[in-house]
Amino acid sequence: MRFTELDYALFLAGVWLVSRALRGRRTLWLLWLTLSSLAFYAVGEPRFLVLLLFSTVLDYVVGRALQAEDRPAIRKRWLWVSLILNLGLLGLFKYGDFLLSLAERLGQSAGLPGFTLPRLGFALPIGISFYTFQTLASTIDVYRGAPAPKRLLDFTFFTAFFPQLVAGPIVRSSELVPQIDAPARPRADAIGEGLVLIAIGLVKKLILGDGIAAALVDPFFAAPHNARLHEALVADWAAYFSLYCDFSGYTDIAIGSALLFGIVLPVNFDRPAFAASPAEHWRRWHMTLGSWLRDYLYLPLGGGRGGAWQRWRNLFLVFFVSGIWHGVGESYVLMGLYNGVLAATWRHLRPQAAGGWLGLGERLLAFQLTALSVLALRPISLDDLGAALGAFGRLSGPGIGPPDPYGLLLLFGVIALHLSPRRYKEGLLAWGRVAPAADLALLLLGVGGLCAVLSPGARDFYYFQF
Amino acid sequence: MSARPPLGSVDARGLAVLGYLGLYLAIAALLSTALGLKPLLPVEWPTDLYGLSLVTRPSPLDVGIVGSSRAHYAFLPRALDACLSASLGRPTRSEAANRVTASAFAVAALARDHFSGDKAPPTLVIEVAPDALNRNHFELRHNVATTAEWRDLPACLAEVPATRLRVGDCLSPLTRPVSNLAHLLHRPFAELDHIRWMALVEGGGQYCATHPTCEARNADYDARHAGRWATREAAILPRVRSERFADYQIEGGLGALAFTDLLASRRAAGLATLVINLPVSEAYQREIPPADYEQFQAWIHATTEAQGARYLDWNRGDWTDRQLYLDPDHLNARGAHKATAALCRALTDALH
Repeated sequence: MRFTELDYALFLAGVWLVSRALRGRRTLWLLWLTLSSLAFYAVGEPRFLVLLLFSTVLDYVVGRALQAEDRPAIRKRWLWVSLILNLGLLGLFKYGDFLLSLAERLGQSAGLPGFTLPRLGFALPIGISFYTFQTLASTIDVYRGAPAPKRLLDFTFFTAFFPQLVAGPIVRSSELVPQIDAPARPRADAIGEGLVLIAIGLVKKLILGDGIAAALVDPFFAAPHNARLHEALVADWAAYFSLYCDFSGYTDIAIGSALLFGIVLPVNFDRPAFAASPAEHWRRWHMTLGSWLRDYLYLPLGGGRGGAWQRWRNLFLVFFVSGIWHGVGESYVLMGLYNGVLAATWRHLRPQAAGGWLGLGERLLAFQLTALSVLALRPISLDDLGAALGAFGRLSGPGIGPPDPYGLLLLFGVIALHLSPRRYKEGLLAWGRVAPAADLALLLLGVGGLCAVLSPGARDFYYFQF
Repeated sequence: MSARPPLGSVDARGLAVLGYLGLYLAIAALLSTALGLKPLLPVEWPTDLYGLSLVTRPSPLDVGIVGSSRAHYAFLPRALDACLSASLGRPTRSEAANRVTASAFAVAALARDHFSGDKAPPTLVIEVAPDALNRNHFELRHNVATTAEWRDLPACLAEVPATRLRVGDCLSPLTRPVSNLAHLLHRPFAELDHIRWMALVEGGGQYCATHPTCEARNADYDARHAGRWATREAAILPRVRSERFADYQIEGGLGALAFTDLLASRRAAGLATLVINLPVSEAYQREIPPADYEQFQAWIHATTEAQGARYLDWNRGDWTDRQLYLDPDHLNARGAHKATAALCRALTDALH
C-alpha cells in the first residue's frame, strides 16, 4: 500500500477513527494499532509476514533472556544468536543470489568455465533492511544494559508500527516504547502538524520528485551514451534532488501519519545538500541509518580514536556497509566503496571545514562528489551506470536534447527550498498546529487536486527496494 | 521534534477535519456534475475536451466510435461520413471518443459518457482487443480510478482480492470530482487549437480528412513520428506478454462485465453495435500468446452472438503490410484510410 494512494488515506482514517475510540484502554489501543500495522504489511507481502514476526519474536526472546542473564559468556552467546539469525536472514533474502552469482563468476574466471551454482530466487521482503536493523539495535541496547522490552505486544508494535515499517525512519526502542507506556492521546496541535507534514510529503514525492525524475532524469538514462558533460551534471543534480524529494517526502508522510496517533518519530533529513563534507552529508541524509551505523558499527570499531589508518578504515567501513545496505548488485558495492574512500579521505585531508568563499566551494565540491554516488541508486545496470559516468568526461557528442523547462523550474524550486531557512517549514508546521479544521481539510483537498494535475504518474518510493 | 511537550490532551480536531473533507467532497461532486465534467485524463486528446465540457458534441449522430488509441489512429470520422454519405445517398455524422490505454472497462465508460441515452447513435462501433479484455489488464487500476462510477462499486470491490485493483481505485468516484475540477482549472492542453480542430472538424480521430492539405499534413505527422516504430518495438514489445497478457483471463473480469452490459443495453434499446478487433502488426501478433488469443476469440464470438452484435476480426486478412503501421500496434495515415474504408463497407449494410 503506497502512502500516495487513496487506499492509504482510507486506511489511515479508518485506523485513526478506531484508535481514537480505544484511547484510554492502552492494551486494546496498542493491540489495534499493532494488528492494523501487520495487516498493512500483509496487504503487500502476506508471505513475508512470517519473517517479520520471526524477527520480532526472536529479538523479544533474546532481549528477555539477556535481561535475566548475568553471566557475560552466556549473554554474549545470546547476542550472537540474534546477530547470526537476523543478519543471516537479511543476507539470505537480500544478498543470497548476488553472492552466488559472484562466486560463480569467480569460479569461472579461476579456470572453471562450466562452473554454475543454483539460485535461491527469493524476492526481497519489503522493509527487511529497516526492521532487521531496528530489532537488532534493540537487542544490542539490552546487551549494553538498557531495559529489555516488557511485553511482546509492545515490542511487536515497535517493530511493525505501519508509518515506519516499510522504509523507516529506523526507530530505537528507547524512542518509541516510552511513548506507548502511557495512554497516548495526540495533542490538538499534533493532528494539524501531522496533516501538514503529510501534505508536504505528497507534494515532495508526487509533484517535485516524480516530476524532476520524469522531466530530467529519465531522458538522460534513456540515452546516456549520447549525453555531454553539462547534460550529465543537470541529470545528476536532478537525480539527487528527485531522490531527496522521494525519500524525504516519504519520511514526512511517515512522521505525519505517526503524529496523528500521538507518536513522534525521529527526523530523518536535515538539508543534506548543504553539508560541508561527504561524511556530514550522510549524517544529514537518512539520519537514523547514519546514527545506527555510528552507534553499532563505527563506535565499536573505535570511532575517531587510534591512528590515521585506523580512523580512515573505520569511516571507510561505515560507508561501505551503508552502500551495500542500500541494495544488491555491483553498483551498490561500488557506491559503498566510493563513498567510503571519499568520506574517509576527505576527513583525512580536511579535518576542519573552511569558512567564507573557500567553505562555500568546499560545500559545492562535497555536494557534487556525493551526488555522483546517487546515480548508483537508480535501477540501472552496471553498463548504464558506466555510460552515465562516462558522460561526465564528454564535452561533445550528439547530446540528449535541451532540458525540459518545467523540469528545470522544479529543480531550481527544490534547490531554493532546500537552501531556504528552516523557519519557512517551521512556519508552515506552526500554521498547521493552530489552523482551523476547515482550512486543514481544504489544504489536503488542494494538494490532492494539485497532485492529480501535476504528478507525472505513480512511481514507487525508491527506498521501498531497500 | 524530540523537544515537544508530552502528549496528553484530548482533541476532536481530527474528526472535524474528516467532517470538512466529506463536506468539501460533496460540494466538489455537485460542482463537477453541474459543470458537466466527465472522467478525465490529462492528455491532449479531443475526447477530454468533451470531458471538460469545452466543446459540445453534435447530435443526432449516425455512428459513434469508442475504443483505445488504436481506434484513435485507425478511424477518420469525416472520411467515414464522406464514404457513408456517398453510399447511402444522404449526409451522415460520425464521432469518435477514444482514450489512450483503454481497457474494455474504460471503453464501456466512454460509451456511457458520450454515446448513451438521447446521445446514443443508431450504430456504435466498439474497438476491442484481446489485451483490453484481460481481467488483469495492465492499466486496469488506472482505468478504474479514472472512469469508475458508484454503480461499479460492488463489482469492483469483488474484484479486489483476485486482481491488482485496490479499494481506493473502486472508491475513486469519491475523489474524482476534485481532480476533475483541478483539470478544468489547469487545462493541460498545449495545443488546444489543434485538438479543438480535431474534435470539432475531424470528429475526434488522429488524422485529418476534411481539407485539401490533409494528405500532406498526415504525411508530415507520420514523418515526424517515424522513430515511433523503433521506440515502441524496443519499449513495448518485450513487455507485451508480461504486462498485457499477464495472468490472462476474460471471464469474470470488470472489463468483460462492462463490455457485456454495454452490448446488452444497446440490444435492449434496439440499436446496432459493431465490434472490431483492429489489426496489429505481425511483430505485435507474435507476442500474443496463442492460447490467450484463442480464449479471446471464443469469448468474443460467443458474447457478440449472444448480444446480437456483429464482430469483425481484421487480424485475419490483408493487414500484414508493415507500411500500414505507425508503430507495432497503431496504424498510420495510410492504414487509417484503409481501415476507415473497410469500416464504411461494413456499416453501409447496417445503415441502409
